[in-house]
Amino acid sequence: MNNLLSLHWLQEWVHLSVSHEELARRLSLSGAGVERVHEFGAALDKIVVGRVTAVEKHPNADALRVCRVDDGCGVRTVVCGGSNVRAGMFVALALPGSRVSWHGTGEQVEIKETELRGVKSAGMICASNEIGLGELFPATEREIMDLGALAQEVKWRAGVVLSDALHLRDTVFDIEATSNRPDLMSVVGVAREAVACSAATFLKRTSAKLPRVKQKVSITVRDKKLCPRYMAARVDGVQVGTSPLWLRQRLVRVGVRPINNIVDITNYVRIELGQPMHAFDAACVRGALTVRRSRDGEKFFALDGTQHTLRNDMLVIADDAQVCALAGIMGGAASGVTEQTTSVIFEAATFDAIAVRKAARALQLFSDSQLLFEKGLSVQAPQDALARALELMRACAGGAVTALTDARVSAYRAKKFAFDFSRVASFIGVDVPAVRMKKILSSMGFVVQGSGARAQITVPWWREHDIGGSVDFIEEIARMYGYHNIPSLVPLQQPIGRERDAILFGEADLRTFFASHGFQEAYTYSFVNEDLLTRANLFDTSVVRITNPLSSEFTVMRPSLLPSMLQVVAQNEPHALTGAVFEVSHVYLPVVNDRPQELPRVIAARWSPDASGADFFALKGTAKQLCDAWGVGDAFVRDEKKREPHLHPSRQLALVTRGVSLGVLGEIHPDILERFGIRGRVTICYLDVAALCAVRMCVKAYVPVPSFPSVKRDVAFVVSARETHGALHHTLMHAHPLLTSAELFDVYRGAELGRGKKSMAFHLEFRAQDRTLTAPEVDAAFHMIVTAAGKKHGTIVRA
Amino acid sequence: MDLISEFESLAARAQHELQVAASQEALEHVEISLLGRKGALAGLMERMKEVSAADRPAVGQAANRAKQQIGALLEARRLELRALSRERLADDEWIDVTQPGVQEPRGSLHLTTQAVKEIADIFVRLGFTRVRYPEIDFDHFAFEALNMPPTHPARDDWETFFIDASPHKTWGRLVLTPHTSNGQIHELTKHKPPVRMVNIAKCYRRQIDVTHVPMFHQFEGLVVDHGISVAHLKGTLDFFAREYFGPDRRIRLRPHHFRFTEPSFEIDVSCGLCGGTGTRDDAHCRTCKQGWLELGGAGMVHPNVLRACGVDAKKYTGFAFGWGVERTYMMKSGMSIPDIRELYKNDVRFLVQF
Repeated sequence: MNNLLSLHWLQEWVHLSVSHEELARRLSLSGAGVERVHEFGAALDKIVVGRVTAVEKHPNADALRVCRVDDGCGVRTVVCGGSNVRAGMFVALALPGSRVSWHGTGEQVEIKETELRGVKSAGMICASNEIGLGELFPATEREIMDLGALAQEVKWRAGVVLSDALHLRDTVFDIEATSNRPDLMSVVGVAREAVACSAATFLKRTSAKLPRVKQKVSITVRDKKLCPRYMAARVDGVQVGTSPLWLRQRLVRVGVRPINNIVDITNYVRIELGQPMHAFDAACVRGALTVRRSRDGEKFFALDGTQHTLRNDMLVIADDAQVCALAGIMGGAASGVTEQTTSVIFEAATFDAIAVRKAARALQLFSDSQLLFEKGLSVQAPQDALARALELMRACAGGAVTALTDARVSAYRAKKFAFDFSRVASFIGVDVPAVRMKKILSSMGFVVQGSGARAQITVPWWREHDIGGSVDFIEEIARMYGYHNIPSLVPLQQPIGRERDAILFGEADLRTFFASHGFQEAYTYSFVNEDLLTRANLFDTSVVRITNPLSSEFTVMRPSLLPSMLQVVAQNEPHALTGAVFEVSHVYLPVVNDRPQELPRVIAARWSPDASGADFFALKGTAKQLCDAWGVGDAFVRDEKKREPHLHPSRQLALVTRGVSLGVLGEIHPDILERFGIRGRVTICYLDVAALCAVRMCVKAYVPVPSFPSVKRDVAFVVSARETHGALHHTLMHAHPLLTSAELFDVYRGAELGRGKKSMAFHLEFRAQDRTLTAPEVDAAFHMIVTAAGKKHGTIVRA
Repeated sequence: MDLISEFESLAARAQHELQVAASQEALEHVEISLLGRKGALAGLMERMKEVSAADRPAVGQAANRAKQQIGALLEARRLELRALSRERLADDEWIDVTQPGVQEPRGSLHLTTQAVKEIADIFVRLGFTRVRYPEIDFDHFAFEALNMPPTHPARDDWETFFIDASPHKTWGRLVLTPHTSNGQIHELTKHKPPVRMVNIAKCYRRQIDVTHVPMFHQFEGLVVDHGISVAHLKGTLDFFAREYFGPDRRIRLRPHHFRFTEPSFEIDVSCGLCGGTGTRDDAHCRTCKQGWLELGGAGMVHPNVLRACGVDAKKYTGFAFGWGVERTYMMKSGMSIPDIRELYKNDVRFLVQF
């Protein structure tokens, strides 16, 4: 979580012994990451204090005035539209070359010497929002800044750079504090850290003391677990108004908008000490305040104007009539401080981190206080915060403390741990002298007792939540010693004999295979919805469901890669008529032995408008190459009885080898394509990666290279159009032992063959292992093959 | 004319004919007409029978001379023609080499696959074993044993996906693991130290916007052994950063906070664009924060985690890190994909680029 830190403010607590850059670097390396460094006020470099010496009417425009302005070096003419401009006024004068935003909106523009309706103008007299000071000095419509009136405490002089006159210049760090270190989200927290990393020393300060008041604010804490401490102070006779300039400046520099002195004080204390505060208008609190859990259905009207219906587990501060604040998150609108307020009740309390987080999330109501509380704050923090707030009250709003309450569960007991300093070296890999280690810890407020390696360490209250044991002390020592001072070593020790995961390597090989065969690799989400599954005929009620899906698109864990793949095709088809895509991923099947099954699959798809089945053969060819490469053999099985319903009835094959089912190859059924809005055809090969890896032959058998030449003959058979290559090829290959291969190279249908006929042409290859074949031998074998084909399939050899 | 002069004139004729032959084919033709089985030389040799025994040696010599002369002429002409044809090769066999090549359809590996492969290869070289553990896992592995109690924000409904199934008696509810750190628990429960693993898997979080996708990938490293220290963590990640991002890149460790490591770190790598200075063209470098880019989290395995897996925390120490694959890849390539969801939209016009 990020927060802004003003170095100006920080230096009220510490004396910096290093440069700003070095401080940023040391803080970053020791834990409080400085992500950005802003130079506040740098943008106002060319804006100076001007004194208006004369104001005349503009000759050509009623709404404009022609002003003579003393810029410290001389007097210049500036045309101004501000309705309140008058002679003698101190104004913010933007000189040519400076940048302003017109009327406080839009892009910044550069001021140039110009002519306005016929009168030369050498600069601009600015409204506060035109130079980014709208928060410090709220702008009034059509009025320019009357500096003398806005900041009476400043001694104004023409020609002084405005940032200097207003003491605006500051360096602001944007610091990222980790969730366990809410103490770093305050000026004092960063001050402690700066001191610990030797970049600063603490200044002497007298800390504010709580006044002694007998009267108590009437508070009942019903839930002491969620609210272990509640402090409240009533101040009567306050004057609500604008905070002094120095306080407003501090807030503005760290991005907080000043509201009124009371609210500003609560924000100031939170930023400075890291303890959130709240102020109630005492007159609007009816009866006594109670810290309790909300009742189901109770209404809450928040300060930010939102309305909420509470559940019965949220911690609230309520009076006799209504909920006055959502504990640690936000105050209520009804009891908020207004200009009419004369009595306030300040709250400084400790609320349970988890209760605050849960309520804020449930109501979607967030605030700077809530961000702190949900990290966990110490019960020791409220007293300093309340004392500081009351101190600021006296200075900024007057009034007198008339009642004070401190409701707490029990006296604070600091956390203590035993620690063995001798463990540090082996854990961080470097030997830090014990004296140094102890010094590091005490510089951060830890109290180390004991002289040897074993010691007892007391944790400072502002670290009570994040320190939980001895490893935490090691971390504190290591980070302040400096991680950059620890050597870099590669842990090469004894080898770890682990078999490599066949499926992980199989998946990697499959990816390379398909990518090198012209397929693009897709990654689709593991979750789909029921509708998508239904469209693919894959919906089953036992599907693995997500209880809290992010959207209706992603409600179930997919049992198949097919629907997502069809979505990919549907989405690409409009701009790519043909394509080839694959994905390797898990599918999720219902629980077996306590867990849903996560099974690896690969799906490859080709699509095109061509309905001839060409893609089927292209993909079958790819699948065959895969089978050959993996030593799986010819795995294609045509089983007319066991058809996959989501595939085309006659364009599908199963892949089975050695009794193991590997998957399917086929064209998607047109009904499904229609439901996915796909116009062309889609052919897929969908395989079970685990099965494939199980039958994979990584080591292949050796077959001697033939030492005698083969004889090749071509032959074309005329067969019935429904004759299959599978059957005919089987016959050929079993007809004669000298035939070593029969490769189909042409299928032809033509009128001259007769109706219902086709021609299938083969390259036949004959070979003997032990001799060169003679012509008569080959002739005899060829004859036997042709005869066998004729007998079994009624083939005729085509001339 | 006697036979001797006929042999001589044959050689002269050969010289002429060979000179006329302008191609290798014509040359072969001439060779056959002169030296072939039924060629001119054979015709004259046939007539040797008619020569008297006394004249035969002289005629024989003439025949040999003619044969040798013809052979030499033939060879010379053959070389001459070959040289000529080589000279003309560029012209005769000219093709337009600027025509486009015939291309095989080009496939591609997804960016995520490429990143996973590159990352895994680096750690495998350090002796890590690549493993993968369930994406749908129990509370115990995804949170509890990682020192993340039920009140931890990550275990809230709005952070993590839960599976609709009755909770397991000892392991709790089923979730879609939001990190690969569940692999630490599986690994340490199944295997006794020494352990050096890299677990690369899908993870899920309830976030979707231009910088977040609900499904993404992480790589989780875990080393547990005797005497493993912060120095080893630093060395390993230094090695990774230099191998992955380039030898001129540096890393730094910044203290951070994670429940399952102590101490915990945020690992930063120096910005490749501004060279780690934080300024480019006299302005803030827009890519990094003060010269550094956040790589991801790491830390020394929390003793509670070791204990939860039955490992003796007094004997063994270890370190772990778990980083986003997509994020790490983007940082390396300097590739700025304005919307990370693009990665998983699977537009082939996007996929084919990589």
